[in-house]
Amino acid sequence: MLQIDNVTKRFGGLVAVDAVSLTVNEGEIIGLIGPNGAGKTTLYNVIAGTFPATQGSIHFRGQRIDGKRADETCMLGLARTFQIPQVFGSMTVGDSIMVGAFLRSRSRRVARRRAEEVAEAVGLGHRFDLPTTSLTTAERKRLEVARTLATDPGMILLDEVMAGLNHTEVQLMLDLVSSLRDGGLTVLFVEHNLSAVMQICDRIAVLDHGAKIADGLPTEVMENREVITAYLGAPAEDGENQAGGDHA
Amino acid sequence: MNWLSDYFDIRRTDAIWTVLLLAMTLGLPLFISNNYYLNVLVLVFLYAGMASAWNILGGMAGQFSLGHTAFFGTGAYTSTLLYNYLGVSPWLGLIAGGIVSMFFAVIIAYPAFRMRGVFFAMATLAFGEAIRILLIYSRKFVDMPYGLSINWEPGFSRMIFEERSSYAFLTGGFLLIVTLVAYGLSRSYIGTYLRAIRDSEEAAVAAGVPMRRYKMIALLISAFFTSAGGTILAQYVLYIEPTSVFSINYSIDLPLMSLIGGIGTVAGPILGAVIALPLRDVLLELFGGAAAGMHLVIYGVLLMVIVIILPDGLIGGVKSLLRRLQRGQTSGNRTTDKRGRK
Repeated sequence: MLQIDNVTKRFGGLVAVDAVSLTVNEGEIIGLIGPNGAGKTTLYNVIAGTFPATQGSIHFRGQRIDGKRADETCMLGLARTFQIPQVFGSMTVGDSIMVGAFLRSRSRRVARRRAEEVAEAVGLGHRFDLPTTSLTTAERKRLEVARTLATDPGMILLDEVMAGLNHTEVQLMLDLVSSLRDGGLTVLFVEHNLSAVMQICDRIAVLDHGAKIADGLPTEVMENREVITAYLGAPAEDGENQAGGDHA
Repeated sequence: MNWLSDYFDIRRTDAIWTVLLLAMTLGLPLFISNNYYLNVLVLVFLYAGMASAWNILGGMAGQFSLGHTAFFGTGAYTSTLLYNYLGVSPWLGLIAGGIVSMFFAVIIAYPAFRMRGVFFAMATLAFGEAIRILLIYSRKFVDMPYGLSINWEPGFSRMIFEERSSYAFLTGGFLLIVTLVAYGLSRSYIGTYLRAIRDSEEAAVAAGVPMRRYKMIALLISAFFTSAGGTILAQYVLYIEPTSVFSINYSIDLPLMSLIGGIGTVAGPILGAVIALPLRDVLLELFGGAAAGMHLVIYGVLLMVIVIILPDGLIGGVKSLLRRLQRGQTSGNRTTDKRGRK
């Protein structure tokens, strides 16, 4: 479904993403993890069309999408959310979801019906006619997902949808994502919340210093020495005891 | 009629507004015979139409232009030059001016749409000023008098009328057309797209909105109708010069009226023009003779007060008042409940 080949992104002298390749198959839920500054969000932005890649190519459903604008990739069926929810401040929840739905139909009646379905699916049905500014953080994250779903995507990119949610809300979000997969959607997760990623992903790819250091089943990845080193530092018996991070 | 409600969000209250607008534009010119009031009416209609045109770009799409005088002056100059030198009817000149203005709009859009907020406003402001200066400068190379007069020869094809009320019908028709277009945009998917762009460009693009295309649509429509207003004013005043039709006042008045009435709404700019123009005239009459400039001071203070009290304009003010009344009723009920329980 999504084929990332040797993608490199440089910002001046800084190599944020270094020759990363990754394949996402239809119907999979893939987690993209890594310590702070590993290049997850940069890779995410390159896929979503926010930045062009310096090198390499990205294909979605057989079509080359790197260098395309975000609205063009959205048209092809690849939609994204934002880590910090970007709500349309002057609109109601229903209207915001309709912005996405208008991509497939210019008719208000059709778009509204689609928006109502999506709102119901993400659990915002009872908030449909309220202003977006009245939503809680967890609800805003759901609205992010709802707006992307309304565009009828084949695959969605989720950027830290769990961040800032409490335990119950994380569980609800996980249920939502599983139900989306059951509906035939492919999902790429960028996530800090490892326990959430472990629970739901079919496969996990790990980035560190811009390069992909592991890619496999969640259990395999968690036992991978390189991954442990990237997150926690080298083990004590190796002589150097560096505390690399506190993400695990 | 069914497809209309499929594509446009038509509300019950719209009927009331339509009747009010029709009564104002087609009814008032019939009943007013005093030339002074007719003059005010013509200007109110004209400004209301142009403020509505500005509002499509500045309000709905959130691209706060301060350069609309460029389109206004282009409309006035194109039709007047075509009429005076080639004998082209101003009705055609109006269309030609609109096309030239849209051409200028495309040129300014390329750099300006890369900027946001204040920077966009400054870029468009500079553009409006630059056009006037270029026009004055061009007289070094082109043999053209500083001011252009249009001979007073009444005739429908010449868009010159004997009766002032005819001008009121003309400007009233202009206002009706612009309002219809603004209403159609606002209540269709395009209006929702424009508001999405105004609220968050990133989220709009991520939801599949081709942002540049829709900003451009808003700008082109806005430029065309502002330019048409320029042609109509030239035919009304029958004299134009660079400093009058490319005056920065137009760039400021149009956003100001939208702000007073309610920026981004269909009725807002019309209400704003209905209030601001007569207010300025009345103040001029009261203070103009005794203390020159005093009317502008008072006008400025009044505008500041209005904007501070009603940040969302009159329409926003009325809406929040209605909401407060509703809430007042429900909270009133709640207190009686508590009392009842006690």
